[in-house]
Amino acid sequence: VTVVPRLRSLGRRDAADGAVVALTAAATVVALVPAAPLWLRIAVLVPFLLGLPGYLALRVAGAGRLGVEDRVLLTVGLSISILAIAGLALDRLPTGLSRGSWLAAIDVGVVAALVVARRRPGAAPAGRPVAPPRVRWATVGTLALAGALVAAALTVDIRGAQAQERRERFVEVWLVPSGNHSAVLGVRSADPGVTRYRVTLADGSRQVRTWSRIRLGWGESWQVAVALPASVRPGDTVTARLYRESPRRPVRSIHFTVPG
Amino acid sequence: VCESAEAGRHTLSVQELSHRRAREAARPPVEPDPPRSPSEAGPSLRDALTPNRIPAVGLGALAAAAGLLVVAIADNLARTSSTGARPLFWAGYMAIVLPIAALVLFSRLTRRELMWLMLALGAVLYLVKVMHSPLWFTFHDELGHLRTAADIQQTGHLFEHNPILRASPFFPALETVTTALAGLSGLSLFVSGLVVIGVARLITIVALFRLYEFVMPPRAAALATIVYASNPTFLYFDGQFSYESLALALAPIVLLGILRLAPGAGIVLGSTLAVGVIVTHHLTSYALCAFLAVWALLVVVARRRSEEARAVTIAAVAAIAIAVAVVWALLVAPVTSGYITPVVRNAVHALADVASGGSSVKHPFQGAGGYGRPAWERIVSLASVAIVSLGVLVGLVAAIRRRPSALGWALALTGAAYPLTLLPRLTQAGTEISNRSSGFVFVGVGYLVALILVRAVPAPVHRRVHQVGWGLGSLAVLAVLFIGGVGIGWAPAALQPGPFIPAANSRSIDPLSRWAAIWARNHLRPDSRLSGDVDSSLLMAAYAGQDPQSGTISSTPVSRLFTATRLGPVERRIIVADQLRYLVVDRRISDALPGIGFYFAPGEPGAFRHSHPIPDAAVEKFHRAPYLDEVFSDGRISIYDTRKLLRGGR
Repeated sequence: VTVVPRLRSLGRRDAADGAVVALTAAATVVALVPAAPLWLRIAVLVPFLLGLPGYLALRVAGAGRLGVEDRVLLTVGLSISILAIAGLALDRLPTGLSRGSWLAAIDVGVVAALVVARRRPGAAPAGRPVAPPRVRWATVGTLALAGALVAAALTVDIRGAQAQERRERFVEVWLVPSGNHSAVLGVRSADPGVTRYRVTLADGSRQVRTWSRIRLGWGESWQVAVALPASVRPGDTVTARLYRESPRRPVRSIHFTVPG
Repeated sequence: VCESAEAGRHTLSVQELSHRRAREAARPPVEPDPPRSPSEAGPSLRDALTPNRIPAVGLGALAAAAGLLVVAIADNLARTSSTGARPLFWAGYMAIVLPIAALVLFSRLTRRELMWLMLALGAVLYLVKVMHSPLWFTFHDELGHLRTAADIQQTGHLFEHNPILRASPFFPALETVTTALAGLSGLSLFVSGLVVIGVARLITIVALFRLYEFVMPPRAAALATIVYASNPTFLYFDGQFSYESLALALAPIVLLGILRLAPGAGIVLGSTLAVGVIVTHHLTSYALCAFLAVWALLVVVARRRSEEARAVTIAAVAAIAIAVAVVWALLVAPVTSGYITPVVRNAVHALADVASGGSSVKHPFQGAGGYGRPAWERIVSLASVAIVSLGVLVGLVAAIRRRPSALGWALALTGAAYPLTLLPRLTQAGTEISNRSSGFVFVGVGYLVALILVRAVPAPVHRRVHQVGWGLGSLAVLAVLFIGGVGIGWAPAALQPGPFIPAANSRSIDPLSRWAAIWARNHLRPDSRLSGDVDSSLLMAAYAGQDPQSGTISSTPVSRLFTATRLGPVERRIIVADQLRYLVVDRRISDALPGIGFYFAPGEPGAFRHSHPIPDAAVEKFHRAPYLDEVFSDGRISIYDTRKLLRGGR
């Protein structure tokens, strides 16, 4: 009479432990393989970080019987707390809070917690198994429609934000002294479509160099390291002028004094 | 005769026992003890899904999603300054909240249905915040925490200096979790932050619902949760990427752990959770410690058998939490007192000034820079304050009559603090304190107001006409609370996204200013001292790792650099004395008044009283200054290098 519940408990525990090991292994692989798709990273690593530590803490501490929502709340809350405390410990290591140290810490923690949890007498994982609810199509239908509306709302909003982002028309130009009688000159375009620019560099009223036919699309940039001619002396003011080629007019003028 | 109390710690004499029994017999019926496990609390999910019942969760979620779509359209209209954006936003907001509230008020729902509805409400309201700025962080505190997270990502270590949110590095839980997720997954800090806060938001609302369930029936608990969600900071402030948002999620779970876990596990795990709160956010951890201490005291005073079993757990977790919070504040985060004390001191001084007649009361809803609220929004906001105040008063009477448990008393006392939190609002300096306290006191306000709502509207209400009237009245009250809450807690200019406004926090974060900060990250040496308007400085610190300066130097406001129409000896002295290597000049500050009342710092001359924008000459003077190098320009924003001046060129 007493053996059957024990066996059932053991079966559930093994299955749960197997799931923990599988999630840990999957998370380690996904975190280390750069080619893993983004959705897979999120699907595996979010429960790995925000679920596993708290779940194992509940197991180790012998939390007893809990309802599903209390178990979920405590699992997530404990996971966040444990990560925060673990972060303080990792901070003391030379490696700090790197990807490797996080993976090592969590993997070691998982193994240690599993060993301790399995040694607890009768420490069964998670509460009673919950019977799957009967499907009611009205609920499923309305929830599906709600999901579609949420997706539509997010799509509409993100597109609106992106459109606002591109509505502002401007172009950046920079001229930064980079030591050894040289400078970094650059342009970044936020003009719509592909725009042609021209940049001139002048020492006082004397034009030193010109770059024509710089073609940039929205968000693209152009940058060049310029060795200043010997004729340009320390203390001279070097001026960069940016022109849009169509219409052909200067749009920016910036300057710096050549360091001595 | 010794009566062993539930935990076997109290002994009573025969006389005490008979007195107690006589007292208990004379008392009115007390509130029912909370369900010990969800399965005992009512019909299961299976029951909820049986035929002949409305699909309440589906309908609530559908209505909320439709409301979210309306908000998305309203936000897009606001982005193009189209008319109708604001009314449409309110319509969408109400379409999210009211159907869910109506389902709770008018239908007989299972506790699981109620919980799913709360989850839907929390999720959709969080998405309203996400849709405000779906591409990057734009709120002031978000950018402060982004800096801390970026520092952790870059250095691999905690506790780096953060020039814009000094306390943030010393409460690093949010950034620790976010950078762990970002580091392992390859997601950006922005997306990782959204995920972490999104999870926090969901657990906040479910944890509160569960907490309320321990002191009231599920329907009342759902109403209390809805009232909590109407607090001024819930929609935006506590939905942002900020330590308070995360701490507010963890704090009720500490209480839940104490209530639901076995005593030994309760102490260990409850303390672990409490430490989690302490390393997440200062104010929330102090509020939690105070709540735990009061709760422990009330358990001892109330001496209810059902709670005495938890007395040791509550007291132990309270003691551990207080000890850790004190040690943390003294040894790890002493910066906190310097961060919080001036705010409190200024508010107290301002309040004392008002009380002594030294200064007048702040004009309510005096929007800075002419970005005021429509009259109807002001009326609704004032009405919400009046309703909550009245609700707290009447709710207290109802709570006293109910003879609540110690937890109920602790919640009632928390709610009773609401009128006190309104006092600082009479001054400009105290407004922030009043706003920030909402997230805490509304935990109690929700309990008190829900006590009245469930008495006014017994479910289901469709049987009698006058009950329907009370139900509709309650819905109207909730509508006022939600609209008024946002009206009180959030600047009118920042309610929705929109075109650029100078010095208006989220409205000042546009592609120009963000691209300029990204350029600075790639081309300027990190931690360079620089100065600019408040939002340029914020972006330069958050995205470019720079060290912005403001305030005064040698008793001269640094802002004078940008407000003077010429760069004279005083201005040059500011640059040299403050060792400002770069000046960030956004010419658009001369286009309009500041959205938040000041351009550079709250203490600048004329702050909150500006009547004219900064003159054009003040922002154009830099271009002509011979000792400044203009190293970057996008037409509106220029960055000037002061190297020559600092080396004694002038």
